[in-house]
Formats: sequence, C-alpha cells, structure tokens
Amino acid sequence: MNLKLTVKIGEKKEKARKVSIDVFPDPETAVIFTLQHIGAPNDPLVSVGDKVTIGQKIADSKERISAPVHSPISGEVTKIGEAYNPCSAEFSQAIFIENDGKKRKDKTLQPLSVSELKDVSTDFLIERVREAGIVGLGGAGFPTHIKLSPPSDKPIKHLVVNACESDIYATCDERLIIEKTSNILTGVKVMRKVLGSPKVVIATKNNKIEAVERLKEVFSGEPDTKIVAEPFTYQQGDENLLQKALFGWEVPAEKLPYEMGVVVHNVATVNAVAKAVFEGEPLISRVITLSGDVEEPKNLMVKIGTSVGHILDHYKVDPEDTRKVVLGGAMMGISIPTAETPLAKRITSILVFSKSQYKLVKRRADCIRCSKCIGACPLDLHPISIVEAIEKGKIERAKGLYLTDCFECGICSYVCPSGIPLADTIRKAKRG
Amino acid sequence: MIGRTRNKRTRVYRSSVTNRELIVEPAPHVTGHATKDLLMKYTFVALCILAATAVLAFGTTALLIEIVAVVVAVISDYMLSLVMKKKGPLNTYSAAVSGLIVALSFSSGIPYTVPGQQYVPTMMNPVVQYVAVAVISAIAVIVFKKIQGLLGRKYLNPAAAAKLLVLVPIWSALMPQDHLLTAISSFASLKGALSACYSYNAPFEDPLLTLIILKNHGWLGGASSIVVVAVGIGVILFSRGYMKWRTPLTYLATIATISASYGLINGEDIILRVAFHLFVGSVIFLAFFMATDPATTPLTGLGQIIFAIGLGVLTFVFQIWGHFFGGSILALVIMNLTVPLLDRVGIHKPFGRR
Repeated sequence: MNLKLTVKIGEKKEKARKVSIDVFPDPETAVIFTLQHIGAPNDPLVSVGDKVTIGQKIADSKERISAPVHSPISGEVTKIGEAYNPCSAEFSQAIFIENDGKKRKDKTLQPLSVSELKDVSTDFLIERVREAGIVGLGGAGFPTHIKLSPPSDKPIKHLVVNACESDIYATCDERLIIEKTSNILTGVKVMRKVLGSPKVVIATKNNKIEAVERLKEVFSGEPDTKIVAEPFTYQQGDENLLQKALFGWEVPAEKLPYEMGVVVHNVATVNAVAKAVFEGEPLISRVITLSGDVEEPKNLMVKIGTSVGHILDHYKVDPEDTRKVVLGGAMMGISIPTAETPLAKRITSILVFSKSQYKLVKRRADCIRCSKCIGACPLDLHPISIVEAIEKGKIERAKGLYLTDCFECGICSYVCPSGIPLADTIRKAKRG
Repeated sequence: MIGRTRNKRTRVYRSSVTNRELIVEPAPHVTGHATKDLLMKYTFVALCILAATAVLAFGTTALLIEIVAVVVAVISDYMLSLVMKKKGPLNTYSAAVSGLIVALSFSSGIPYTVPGQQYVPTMMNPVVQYVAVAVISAIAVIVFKKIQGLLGRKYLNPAAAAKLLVLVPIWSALMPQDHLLTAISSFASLKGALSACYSYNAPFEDPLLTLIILKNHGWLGGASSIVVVAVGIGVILFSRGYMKWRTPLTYLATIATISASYGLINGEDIILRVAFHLFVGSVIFLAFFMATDPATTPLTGLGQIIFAIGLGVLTFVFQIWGHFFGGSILALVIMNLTVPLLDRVGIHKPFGRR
C-alpha cells in the first residue's frame, strides 16, 4: 500500500459524521441547470407553462458524452433563464419549476427487482443509467454510462468504489454507506454485470469505523470483493492517486483509468445507479453535507435544484454572520456570490464560513522559495515554477512544466507560507 | 446582486433576496497554519538556543554581539518600513533572524599558539568588533535583504554577503599574516597542531572533544557543534518539509568525504581531520542555518544536492588553500549565484509520465 503522506489536513468531520441523513422538504421552486455534467450541453425538452412531474426528463442531448436532467418536483415550468451554476462558476441556462405540491410521479423508468437483474441485458442497464442522468457524484460530474461502457478491447479487471470521501468537512458519503448499504451492494451488482464481473475493491478511510463495519457485514458473502480501509490522505481521493495507493501503478498522463483495466466510481454514484435500476428514480436528489462554521452540521437528502439560501434559512444560519458560502468541498469548491445559487448534481457539500470565526491567516507576500509546494504536490509538479512562468506570461514554459497535468487539488496553496494563490493561478491558466 | 471589488482576489456581493453579503474567494478555502512569520519565529527560537551556547562558550562578549546585531537589524527594518511605505512592510522576525545569523556567523578570532611563540591574541579589539557587527547587520538587512528583495528575488545570502563586503577589505589588517593552517602545517601531527591551537582556555584537553562539544574560537554559532547538529536536525524534523534538508546533509557528507580522502593521502588521523573540517566553526553552523536559507538556495531536490556538493568542494578548497579564515561564506556566496541555473535542473517528470 503506497501511502505517500505529503501533507496532513485536518478532516473536521467529527460532529457531522454522527448526524444521520435528514430528508430536506421539497423546495417551492426548483432551478435545474441544463448542463450539470462534463460533456455536451443539453437542450431543454420543455417550455414555459408546461406541466412536469417528478422524475420527468426536461433536458437532454443527442451527443454521446452527455447526461439528461430531470424535474425533481411536480409543477409548472415558469421560466427558462439563467442562474449561477456552481459547477462552472458562471451563469448558465436553467429551467425554473414552480412546485404544485401534488407529487405526481413520472413512470418512464420502471423499477426492477434484484432477482430480475440476471435477465436484463447490459445495454438495458447502460441505457437506464444514461436515462437516469447519472454523473460522477464525487464532484467530477463525468457521465457514468460512458465509464460503464469502456471500449471492448479494454477488459475491465477492477471496479474500484471510491468511498474515501477525502474532502474536508464532507460526511455525506459516509452516512450514505451507513444508512444505504444495501443500495451500495445492489449498485455494485449492476456495475459488475455491466463491466463483465471485474474484481471489486471498495476503498474507504479506516477512520470511518461504522461505515467500514457496515460494508464488511453487507459484502461478506460477495465474490471477488475486497474492502480496503486505510488512512488515505486527502489527495488520494483522486481516482488516479487512489489507484497508485491500491495497485501501485500510475495511470499514464492524459489517459483514462480504463487503459489500466480499472473503473473508479464514487460510492454516491453507485447508490444513484441502484436507485435508478431498482427504484426507477432518476438522479433528482442526492445527499449533501451542510457544515463549516455552523453549530449543528447536517447530512441532508436534498432535491437537486434547491436553492442554497433556502437550506441556510431553513436551518437558521445567521445571514449577518455569514462571510462566505462554499459549494463542493473546502479545497476545490467554489465560493458562491449569491445565496440563491441552486444545487447541482455534482455538489457534495455546502460549507458556511462565518465572519466571527474568520481570521486572516496569510497575506500574499513574495515567494520565499521554500519549495514546500514542490514537495507537497501529489503529482510531483513544480507549482511555483509553473506560476512564475504564468505570471511572466510564458505560457509555453508553463506547459513544458506540465501545467495541464494539474488536477487542482489545492495542496500547493494550502501549504504556501507566503499565501501565493498557486492553485488558483494554475486553474485560470488551464482554462486559458 | 451588486458586486464591488475589495481587492484583486475577493469580491463582495449583496444578495437582493436573502440579504446575505457573500465574499468570493478562490479555492482552497482552508489553509495551512504555516506562514512566513511563523517559520521565522521558529527559526529565531532555534537560533536562540545556539546564541545561548555561544554565551556559554565565549562569555558576555558573545551576548553583546548578539544583542547589537539583532537590535541593529530590527531597527534597520523598522526604518526601512518608514521610508519605503509601499514596498516595505514590517518584517520584524525576518530581520531579527538575519541579525542573529550575522552575530552567530561572526568570529572574534582565534586564540592560537605557534611553536616557540607565546599565545598570540588575535581577538579583535572589542570596540571594533561591536562596530563591525553593527555595520554587517545593517548592511545585511538594508542592502542584501530589502534592496535585493526589490529586484524580485534574493540572490545572495544577506548575512554572508554583508560579512564578505565588510570584512574582506579589512581582513588582513585584523587577522594574523600567517594563516592558521600554515601554522598547523608546521606541526608534526594534526593532533599536536590542534592541541596547540585550540587548547588555550579550552574546556577539554583532547582537541577532538573541543571541536565536538565546546570550543572558544571561531564562529559564535559553532561554539558547540553537537548542539548545532541537534538543533539543526530538530528544526529539519519539526519543519515538516519547509526546510531544505537535503542541503545540510549533502554538504556535510561532501566535506566529510573530501577531508577523509585528504587525511588518507597525507597519512593523518582521519577522524581528527574530518572533525576539524566539519566542526572548526563555520561549516557546521553554515550547513544548517545559512545554506538552508530558502530564498537563496535551489528549489529542486537535485538542485539542492548539486548546490551542496559545490558548496562543500569550494569550502574545502578555501579552507586548505585560501588565505583567510571562514572560506565557507565565500563559497556560499559563489554558490548562491548559481541558483537561478540550478533551479532549472532536476525538474522531475510528474505522475503518470515517469
């Protein structure tokens, strides 16, 4: 087990990991972005005034790398406009739906029973995953059906379920494992069938004691299944670094894991697959963590499209004392400019940073050339050299230093004693 | 939603509906506790231990030298912050560290005896040495810290460069004409030479013990080699990667290797020869506290190793054939100039491309 420990980051999960999942009430208005995945944009399938039902597909694309979106509530489309999209950190097209409170359900996706699984075809399951709009729920948002249909000349030997949940504060996956273990089991069964019965590795952190116990209990009779509970670091939540830790190999740069015969899925994605296949429910809700400087952290089953401000108001988070709200993880997430921002599929957590607990730790200063960022980078890049090249306008030199390999984990900024926004500079340069 | 810019990185928005004023900042939204100031504070504490050993070995003279150097450095920094309002925020700890390094890399001289002669006090005139330390300290902070910093990057180690600038022109006036090592070579054995040179007022009879445990000659910072090594290793372990640990280790290993070979060729007591070069005063302190100065040493691991090997070779050459004592700082300044080149060496292939 290769556990290169470069930087230790406090997890801040103690309180939240004991809080069981609450079902958050349906919102009055749901705002659904048409683009919530990585890939081709979707076109709306509804127009203003249309009545929609729970789980009805409201936007889709004909492109292969895409995932449709669905209405999480029943009601009427009131507007097709723009809203601040926390996935891309800019305003993008969204469908506004007014809740009529009737809870009418769409019946397009028929639930299967677990015993029926052996009778259905692989193509049926892949199509189901696509129609359910499932994307990587760990934060990447890559359409899951693409990952489940690798090229036929690349047999998949290992299915890795990433349950490390390495983000600071986030406990939604941990609670999901504890409370929906049977869904994880059936979801893994679907994925194994689709991928041609690969070996299963469920990787999780050894400090999720209850979750590890539940997994061992539920997966005890499963063939070729290994539960690996190790002190994985924050960086090893990344699928390539996790593979290095589990198998010792490095996925070649610019290549995808299937080249190594591996598919990595987040545990929440596995749950979503199980729900799509066996409950007939597309991806219209997910578990998120509400944490940060809040007194009572929460794990919430919340409908996609619910506004962040609505959730904060519901739990009476003091608006006067809110300095910043971050969606999607403290290390890589986006701080939103407006609390009306709706939730998207990829958002794992809402973190509230209060004014009262804020203190300025670092002020930007000149680089002291301590080279800590070089030692800390999990990919062994040279962040400061790249940033110096970018700031001098030498973008070609920055590319020569493998600028584009960076996966923006933020460790370099975290460790920098001079408060240089290394990760942010690199992120902006990558976007061009 | 109205956005107004607070500074380059953060923007404040007031939301019209929920009335939350939110700040937008780039990720990561949490940060490590290590700051420049904190690192400097820790370095200062570590140096204070060495300063205390220097007082133990050299008496109140050392204490006064240390106080003069630190006070002058801090005052210079304060004055600069007044003059250069925009480009010169207060760096009290950083200045204090520089001042203390100036003091600890200062040598009051060498009490040594040559055969047939009495003990020759080559110690500096006390008043001259306080003035010298004050001048070096001020130059280190003003010229080599602040003005170099304005160039965007520091090239030379402030304490070493300032000491060279101030002391080299007057070196011959202050130091005896016949070099210490010339004196050593006139003895039949190295042990005899070191005993003669270093036994004056020394707490130990055996020169090896003097070199390792406590000596009253050479750099203040190198008064007790064993304490320097202990504090240096402690700092390396405590700093968790913020200190360039490859440099001191490679540097000491290089000097040990070269001096052992030299001893072997000349048929001397190898242990004593190695101990002499490692612990005579400047090398051991410079290895841990000057050659690791982040700003003036290479970024990459390989760069640091090449830097340290070059530093070791030059130090040895200056010690054996140079004509002034403490050649290590000249070696350091020369190697500092190679850093921009060494930064381009050893950029390793990242994950997935190896």
